[in-house]
Amino acid sequence: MKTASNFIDGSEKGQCNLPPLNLVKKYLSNMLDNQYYTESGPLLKICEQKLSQLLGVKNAICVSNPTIAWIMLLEAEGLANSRINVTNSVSKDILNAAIWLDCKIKLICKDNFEINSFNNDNFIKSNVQLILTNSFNGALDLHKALISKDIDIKKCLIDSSDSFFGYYKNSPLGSFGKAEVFSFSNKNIINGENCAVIATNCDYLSDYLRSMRGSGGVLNKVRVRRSLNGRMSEGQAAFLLSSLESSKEWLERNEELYEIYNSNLNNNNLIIKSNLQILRSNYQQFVFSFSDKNLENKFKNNLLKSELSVFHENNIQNDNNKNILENFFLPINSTVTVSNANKITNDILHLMRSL
Amino acid sequence: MKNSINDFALFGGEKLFKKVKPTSNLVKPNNFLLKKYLNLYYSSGSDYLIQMLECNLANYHRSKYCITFNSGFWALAHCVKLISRKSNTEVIIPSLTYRRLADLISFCGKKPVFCDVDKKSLALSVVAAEKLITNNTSLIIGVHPVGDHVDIDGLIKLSKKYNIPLIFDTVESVGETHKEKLLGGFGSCEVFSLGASKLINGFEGGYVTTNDSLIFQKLKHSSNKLSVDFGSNIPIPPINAIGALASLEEIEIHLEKNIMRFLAYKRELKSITELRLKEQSIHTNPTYKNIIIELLDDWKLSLNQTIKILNSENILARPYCPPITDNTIQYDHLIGKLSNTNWASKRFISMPCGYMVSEKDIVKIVSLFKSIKVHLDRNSLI
Repeated sequence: MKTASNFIDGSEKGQCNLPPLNLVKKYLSNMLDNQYYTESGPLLKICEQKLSQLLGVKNAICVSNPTIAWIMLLEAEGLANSRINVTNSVSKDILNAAIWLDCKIKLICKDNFEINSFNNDNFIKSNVQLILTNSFNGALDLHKALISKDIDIKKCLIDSSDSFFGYYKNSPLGSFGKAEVFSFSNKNIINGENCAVIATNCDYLSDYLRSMRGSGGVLNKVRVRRSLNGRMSEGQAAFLLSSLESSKEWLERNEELYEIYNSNLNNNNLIIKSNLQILRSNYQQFVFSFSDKNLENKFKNNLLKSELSVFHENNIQNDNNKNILENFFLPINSTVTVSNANKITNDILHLMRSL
Repeated sequence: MKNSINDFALFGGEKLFKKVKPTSNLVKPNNFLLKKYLNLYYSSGSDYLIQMLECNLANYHRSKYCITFNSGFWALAHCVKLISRKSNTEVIIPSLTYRRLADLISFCGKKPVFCDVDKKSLALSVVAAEKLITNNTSLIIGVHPVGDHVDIDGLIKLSKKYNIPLIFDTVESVGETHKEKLLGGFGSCEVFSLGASKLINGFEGGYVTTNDSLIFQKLKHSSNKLSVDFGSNIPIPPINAIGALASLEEIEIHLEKNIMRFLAYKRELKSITELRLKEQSIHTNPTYKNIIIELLDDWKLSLNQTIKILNSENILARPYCPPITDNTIQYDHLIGKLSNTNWASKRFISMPCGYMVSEKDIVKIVSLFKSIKVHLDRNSLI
C-alpha cells in the first residue's frame, strides 16, 4: 500500500492523467492514415471544434505550448514592451511570456481571493486592463470583483488553466474576457501533451493568432507584425482528443476525493479555499489555509517531521507580504485512492491536535 | 505529354496529379515503431523517453550534448538569447532564408541585419558578412541553405577575428558532413528541427547540439524551468519525442530513397538545357532532402509564370526562399547590399520531393517541363 509520502510529488505535479493507451493508438493511426502531422491538420481541427463547443466560445485556437499561447496573445494585443496588470496567482507561463516580450509586470492585488481589495490607482491604463487568473478549480467572482471597480471584463485576458470544465453564472468558462487561455499539461485535468487553447469570441483576434501560429504569415488572412512557431502537432491533438473522451471518469474521481477532504476537514479551524458556490468545478485541487500565521507556522514546522503529502506555495515571494497566509494543496490525481485521501486527512487532523 | 496548349490545367486541361505533390519530406512514421515508443512512454514516463531521444540524437551527430525543445524555432530562439552578446543588438543573418528567422531575432529583442548570399551556395556570404560587422554586432547565424552548406571555416575564422559568437542553423543539413566530420559540433552550437517536413519527423520539435558543457547546462536548465535570464518552459512534448525516436531509427532507409529521387531528377532533366539541377558537393555527404532547380537565362518563362503552371497541375513547387527584405517588416532591421539575393530570388525553384513523391512522379513532373519547353519553342505558351 502507498504511504502518503509516495505521492508528495503528485500534489505538486498535479493530475497526472494519461488517457487509455488504446484510445491514443487509435487516434495516432488516424494521423498516419491522414498523412498529416502538423499545421492545422484534421485532428487539430476536430480538437478546435470540440473545444469551441465545450467552452461555449466562437473561436478556439490550439497552440503547442501554454507559454507560447501567452506570447502570442500578449503580442497580438500589442502588449510587447508594455506594462501589464496581473494578480498574485499569475502563472509561470504568463511570467515566461512577459520575459520574452520584455513586459513589465504590475501586481495589483496580493491574493486572487482578495481581488476586491485592489486599488484602482495601481492600475496601468492600457487597452488590455488586467490579466486575471482563475485558480483553485474555478472562476473568480468576476462580476463582484470587476464591475464595482469599473473594469470592463471584455478588456481582460484570463488565465483559466486550472479551471477547464468550470462554470461561472451558468456559463462555461471560456467566453469571459477578451480571451481565455487553458493549458493541457500533465498537471491539468485534460492532458494534451502540454498544449494550450486560446478561446475568444473576437474574430479578428482569432484570425491574427492563427496567422501568427503557422506559416510565417505569408498565406494567411491577417498580416501579422511577427510570426512564430506555435503549431500544435497531430500527435498532441491525438492525446488531447483521447483525454477529452476520458475526462468524465477523471472528473468523478476528482469530485469524490474533493468531497472526502472537504467533509473530513470542514469545521477544523481551516479555511477551505473555494469558489464553488458560483461555479461548477473540475475539483482539480483542494486548497486550504489557516486562520492565523502562528498556527500556519506551527503546522509547517511539524509538516517537515511528518510524512504528509501537503504542498504549500507562495506564488510571488515578497518581503513586504510576510504576513500573507499561504495556501496548502492536497493531492487530487490519478495516483490517489479513497483510502489515501482518508489517511491524509486523518494525519492532518492528528497533526493539528498536537499543535 | 501536353500536346495542345489546352491540355495544360492552367488552360482547362486535366491536372497532371490528382493529389498534390509537396516540397516537404513528410516521411510517414513506422506504426510499429511508434507503438513501441508509446508503450515505453506509458511504462517508463516522459523524462526517460526524452533523455533517450537526446542521447540518441547526440550519438547520431557525434556531439557531446543535445537538448530538445518544442520546435526548431524555439531551440534557435533560446540559443540566440543565451549566446548573443548581451550589450549589442545586431544579428547578422542571410537574406535568402526562411521568413520567420528575422521574426525570431526580433522576438529575442535583437535587430536582424540582412546579409547578401554567396551566388554558388546561396548561403550567407562571408565577405558580405564581414562588411556588416560593427561595434554593435551581437551574433552571426550561419544558416545552411537547402542543398548546400554555408562556408563553415570562413565563418569560424570571422567569428574568431572579431570575437563575435557564432551559431549554425543546420535544420536543412541533418546527417551531412564537413571535412568528413558530421555537422552538429561546429560553432558555439548547432540547431536542428524535428518538424514533419524535415529528415527526422517528430511532427514538431527541435534540438540543439553542442560540445560546450556550459552552454548545455544553461540550455538544459532553461528548457524546463522559468529562467531568470529569459522565459522558457518550452520543452518537446513526449508524443513528438516518440515520433522523432521512431523516425531516427529509419533514417538510413529514407536517405536512400532521397538519393533515388535526386538521381531520377538528374537523369530526366539532362535533356532540358535551360534548367539546372542544383547539386551539392559529394564531399559533404548530401542527403538530398530537397530538390532545387535553377531557371537558366535561356528559359523563356519567369519564375512566377513557371510556378503558376506547375501549381495548376498539383505540383506544389514554390520559389526557393522568397526574399524577406521587403517592405512588410514592421520592426527594426538593417539591410546590406543584396545584389546576389535579388539575382537568386528570380531563378531558383523548390521542387516536389520526399515520401509522397515516387520516381514515376518525377518522370511525369519533368515531362511537364519538356512539354512547356516545346510550347515555348513554338511560342504558343508566352
